[in-house]
Amino acid sequence: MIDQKNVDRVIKRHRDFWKRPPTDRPLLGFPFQWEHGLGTKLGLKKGPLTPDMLDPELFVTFYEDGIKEGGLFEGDLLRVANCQRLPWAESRPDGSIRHRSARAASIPWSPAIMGCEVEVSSDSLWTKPLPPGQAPTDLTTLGENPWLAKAIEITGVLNRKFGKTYPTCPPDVLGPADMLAAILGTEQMCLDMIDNPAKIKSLVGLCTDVWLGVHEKFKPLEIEFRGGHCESRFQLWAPGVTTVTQDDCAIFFSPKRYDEFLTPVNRRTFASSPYSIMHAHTGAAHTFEAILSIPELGAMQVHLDPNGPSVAEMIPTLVKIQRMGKPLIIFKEFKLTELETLLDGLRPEGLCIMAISASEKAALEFMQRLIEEKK
Amino acid sequence: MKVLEQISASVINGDAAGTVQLTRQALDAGLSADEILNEGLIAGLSEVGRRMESKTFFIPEVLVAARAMKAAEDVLKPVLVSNCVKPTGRVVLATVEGDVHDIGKNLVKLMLECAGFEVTDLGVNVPAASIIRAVSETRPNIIGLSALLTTTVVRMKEVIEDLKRNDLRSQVKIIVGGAAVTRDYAEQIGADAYSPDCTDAAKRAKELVQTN
Ligand code: B12
Repeated sequence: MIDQKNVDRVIKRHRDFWKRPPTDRPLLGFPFQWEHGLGTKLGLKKGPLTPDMLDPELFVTFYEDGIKEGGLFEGDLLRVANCQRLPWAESRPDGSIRHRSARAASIPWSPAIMGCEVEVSSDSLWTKPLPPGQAPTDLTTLGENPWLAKAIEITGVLNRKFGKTYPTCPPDVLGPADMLAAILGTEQMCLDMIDNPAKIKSLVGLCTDVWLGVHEKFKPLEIEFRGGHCESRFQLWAPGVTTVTQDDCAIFFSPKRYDEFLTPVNRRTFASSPYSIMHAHTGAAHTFEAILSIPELGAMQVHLDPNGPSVAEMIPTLVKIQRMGKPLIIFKEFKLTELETLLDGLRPEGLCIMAISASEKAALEFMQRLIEEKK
Repeated sequence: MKVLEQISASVINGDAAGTVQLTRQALDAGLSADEILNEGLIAGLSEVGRRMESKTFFIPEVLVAARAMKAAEDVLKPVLVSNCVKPTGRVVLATVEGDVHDIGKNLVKLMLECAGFEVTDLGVNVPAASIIRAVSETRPNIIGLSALLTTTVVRMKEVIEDLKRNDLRSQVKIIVGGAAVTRDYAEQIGADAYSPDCTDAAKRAKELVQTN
């Protein structure tokens, strides 16, 4: 059973995250760490994954189990049902079956839609660049794309099943830079930036068209939750449709090339929905200024990389994002002292902290210690 | 500008055809392959590394410079082999099993080669057993392991344990890196060195062979 009063309280906090009125504390979430030996658990053979191998019912049972066991909340964040992570069935000692999933089992939907072959390896799912001569999917062929059809089918099943009691959303569509790297291969993309910039410009435009086209195709499902919409990446609710642009491959673009190739398309992705989130890494901090210069940007999400600058070193950059009036989401496997540095250095308004934990138990212990330290 | 400086500049500019042409010109003028390699090509690539560190160059510039260097190396190789220059040391390099990220590893390879190491690159998604086999066969001074995923860093520990089981651990130094690896983790699994980037990796590798 979902406690409706609690839902109202959480939704209010999420609404405030976007509006940023004075608040006592930031949003706090504790997503769990990845699973090992994933390929075996998924029951899939190493090799290609095709859309016909994905059964919507598997996703439904996974979320049914999840609601029974964990309810709707992960800290202040919402569990959102979608077809992003591939679940697997696990037998328990009492003979019953439990469905589980993990971050590394993330299905690379948009590279697959673009035409890339998806591979299952021992620890994750990944895609191969398009073979030479194969044209990427464009808007003229998007309508009959089997991967997109499958994503819409599963999302529709989840939405009909859980309806208004449990939020649903489409899967991740990445962002133009990451889609480009997926179809060309990262190294080729880098070489083309210098050898053939016109090709990069045209392909990044095509990726953006497909990105927008894919979001458009989910609209007829009329997904809605409590008068607003959710996204699954950062598990946030917003009063309107929220899109996430993933910009992992920004690391390969110099500030000049970022401005030339990606700023124009970021403007298009941000402007396409009332609430947008940019997912960026500290490894690509040299691109933050360009991203923040786009007025249509909704919120910035910064992933603090394990080998990047320390939390203390990042505070001035993060403060700058807050000063520009953008809601900020921070993602990292924190030590307690680092979390304190963050809480001391930043304003709680429009702030969401996602502290990765090894397990549900570790997350609870961490939260408990944080509360005690703060007393 | 002297031809060696021109070769360096051409590597820095990522001009493969120009670098090949200048390398041929230098050989024809009687310069030794060693000189061309060290004072022309490697000097150029070292500057590329410095510019990457100071963030004036980004990965695309490094990749085109590497491409130019490779093209010229093909011209030099027959001459170098016949002169048989002794390497600084031998390294077996791999991205661990389950992980296909190789851009970082390839840059490390480049910088190690630049520092005079002979590198056997086992590629990506390499099982521990293949690494053990390569160690037995090539007897390297160093093993370099790369991992970018939180799920695959644990494979580094497995490699170290397999080396111990096969009585090979004391014969090689291990250096680890990649975005998912931290200095703490490297210490915890008993690696000999950790490096956050490719230029530092080459320095650490030199230290490792010196202490050996
Ligand atoms: C490019 C990329 C890919 C490409 C890889 C292409 C290729 N040929 O390498 C592709 C598309 C295939 C890919 C796939 C996946 N990726 Co990926 N990828 C990246 C990305 C964007 C850049 C990595 C990179 O090349 N960086 C640039 C190089 C130069 O840096 P580097 O590797 O760190 O190397 C430097 C140092 O670390 C060091 N170093 C590296 N190796 C070594 C070795 C030694 C011995 C030493 C001393 C030093 C050293 O020196 C290098 C140079 O200075 C990162 C995000 C990011 N911005 O970092 C995600 C990232 C690493 N990927 C990630 C994920 C999740 C995946 C996938 C699981 C995708 C999915 N399904 O969601 C798959 C996994 C595939 C697999 N089984 O491995 C995550 C990992 C998260 C985690 N903590 O585990 C990241 C961080 C992105 C994210 N959103 O969080 N990816």
